[in-house]
Amino acid sequence: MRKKEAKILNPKLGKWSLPYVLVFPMVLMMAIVILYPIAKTVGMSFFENYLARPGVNPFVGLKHYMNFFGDKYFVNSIIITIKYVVITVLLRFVIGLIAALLLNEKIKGVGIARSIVVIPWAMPVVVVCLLFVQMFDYQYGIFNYMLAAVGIIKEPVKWLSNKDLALPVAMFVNIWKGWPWVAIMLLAGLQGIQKEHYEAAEIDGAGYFKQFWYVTLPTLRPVTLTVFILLMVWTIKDFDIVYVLNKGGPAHATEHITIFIYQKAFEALRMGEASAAGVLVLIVTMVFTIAYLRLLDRMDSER
Amino acid sequence: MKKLTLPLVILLILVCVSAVVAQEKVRLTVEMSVYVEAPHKKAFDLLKEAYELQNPNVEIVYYGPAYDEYWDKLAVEIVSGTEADIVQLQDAAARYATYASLREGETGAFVNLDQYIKGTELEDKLIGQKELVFNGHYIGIANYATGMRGVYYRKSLFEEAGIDADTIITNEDFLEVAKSLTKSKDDGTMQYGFGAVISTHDFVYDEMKTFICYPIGATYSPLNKPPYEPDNIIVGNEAWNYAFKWWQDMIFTHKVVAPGSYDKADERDLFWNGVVAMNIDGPWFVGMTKEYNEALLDDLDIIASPDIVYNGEQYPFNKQNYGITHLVSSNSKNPDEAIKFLLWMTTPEAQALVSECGMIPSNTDYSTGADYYETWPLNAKLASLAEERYYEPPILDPEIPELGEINRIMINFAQAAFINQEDVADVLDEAAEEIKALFR
Repeated sequence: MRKKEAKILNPKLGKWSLPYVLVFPMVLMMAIVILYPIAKTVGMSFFENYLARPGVNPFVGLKHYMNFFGDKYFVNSIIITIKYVVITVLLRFVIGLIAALLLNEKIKGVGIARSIVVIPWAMPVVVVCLLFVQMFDYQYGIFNYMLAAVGIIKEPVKWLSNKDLALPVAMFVNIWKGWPWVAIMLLAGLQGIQKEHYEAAEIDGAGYFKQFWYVTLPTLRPVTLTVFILLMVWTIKDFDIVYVLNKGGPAHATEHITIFIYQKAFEALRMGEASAAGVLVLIVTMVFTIAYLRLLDRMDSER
Repeated sequence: MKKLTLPLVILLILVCVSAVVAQEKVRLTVEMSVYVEAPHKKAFDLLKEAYELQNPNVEIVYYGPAYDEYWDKLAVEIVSGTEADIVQLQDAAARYATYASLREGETGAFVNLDQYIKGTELEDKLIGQKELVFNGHYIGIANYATGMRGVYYRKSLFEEAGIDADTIITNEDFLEVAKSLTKSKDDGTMQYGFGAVISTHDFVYDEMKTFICYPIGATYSPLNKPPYEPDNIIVGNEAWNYAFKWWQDMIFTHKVVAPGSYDKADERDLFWNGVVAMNIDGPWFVGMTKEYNEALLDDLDIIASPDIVYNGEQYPFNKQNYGITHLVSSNSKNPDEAIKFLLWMTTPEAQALVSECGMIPSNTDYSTGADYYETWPLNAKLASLAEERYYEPPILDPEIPELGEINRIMINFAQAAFINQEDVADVLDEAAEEIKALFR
């Protein structure tokens, strides 16, 4: 053993001190970049923190948190967020699963199809949103043009400035952008299923749907759970799509919780309230994150 | 190796000299929201070129996103102390209070400019200079350009309809003309009398606020003056109801507004494409039209924003000044150099370059001169119409930090009224309650 190694493996520091030394820089980086901002935000949520009054920052305790219960816009943003998350997660999963099943077939051109399918997911979010803004344009948008051309609509539709359509449009863009990732993840899972399972099922007389129900879905369960949890976490934090399309309008119709927080912080300059709302979102995403980590642990131990 | 020694030494000397020279250059950063627009980019590039030629020790660097993203970003930068040496602000003077108050101090986030402005001829010659006050001190220089809004129209569409634009004096005249110009064209497409932003863009409220609210006294408090207390908030009074209802009827009852404009750029496109016949805009629109298609300038003319008839009285349009102005950050490492550049921008030499943006240069020494009038006749016409018809002093937004929040409240309720077609009285009552809550 060389002298340096002997020093690092000093019995006083413990037999395994080398790994800690190696991991320390990353831990420090994470503490600075992740833990400190979180701690700061939590701290800010207990103070007034109205930026337009610098130097005046009284402690308010849980006032911001309690006020949210009576804030109709906060409640509205929670409802919108729940709708947005549930519908987009489910639809991305369903479309992704169908796509994965198709891409798993050994047919001509499937290689090219697998490459093309990734494009929506690979495109930058803001670029996608700006393109859809043009496509949904009332006067010059391609959607109104095509729908009118086939006679589905007689007059152009105000996709983005209609309070009943604005949220479905945002969901559509989210689903269009997100299903390829689901498809790729599930495809990887499908390719891990041994074909002997299907052969055995076929011998037992199971048709396609029974094989799907009793072989494919159960085997895909770990991947499915992973996909669901990650989609939930990402969609709860989603900001760019809804913001670029409509900034939470018209009249709060697409005001996702992240937009509520953004406007509280940067337009109203009320950092205390924004921090409190951010902490609540953090708690919800942590619940899903802990569930995800526990799932990973269980999958590891099952192996 | 010996052969390389001399070239290496020379290279090393050159690198060191460059580093020293680079360090000696003063780097002035200027952040703005208009650099993304072609006419303003042209003007600012010319200013940079001319100034750096005269001051080789200075390097000017511009940056900034478009209008929509600029304001929130600026607030964050000021709070974190990372804003540029020179910050550009525009629109209502009261924005200054919002941003200045983000930092402690007599003049907050910006440098006190009293010694350069107060008592000098600039105080009177720069349009809008007297509004750039925070806590009784000058914090900005109105050194770039300005403009008030008018109604631009397509001459050919008016001629086709047999309408004399000079007959538009009141808002009712304006509505009647807009109705005459709204029709189905021979090719089956629609032509509309008027373009307005009816979307989630901030202008859904801003345009109608200046067009009809402020002229008839529909302000947040009387004349937007203090005290800003719940009992003094007048949002939702009769004037507000009239203004909101009139605008809502234009959109949904008379249907003279082209639907679906996502933002102001969309609306301008509709005007240039002949889909709308009238567009409320400022002199910057002339520069934009020139950049879009210079030939269109021949078909462009302007009338004054109409008087508003309310309760039997006729109220002239309010001479709102949409000046683009500059302030020096209190965190700047080169405040003297920054101020020197900004003062140079007020000179006739610089103002001639500023005129390239299409707006009216701020220094009246230049903008009232014959050269300017000859080059930009439409802007000259707007300036003289404003002198003739518009009411002074202008009603400004309240100079309070809560202005950002008030604007957001009004934008949301304007969307409720002008997109969702909700009842105007209900919408304004709710808006009033939310604004009052800010001051409880």
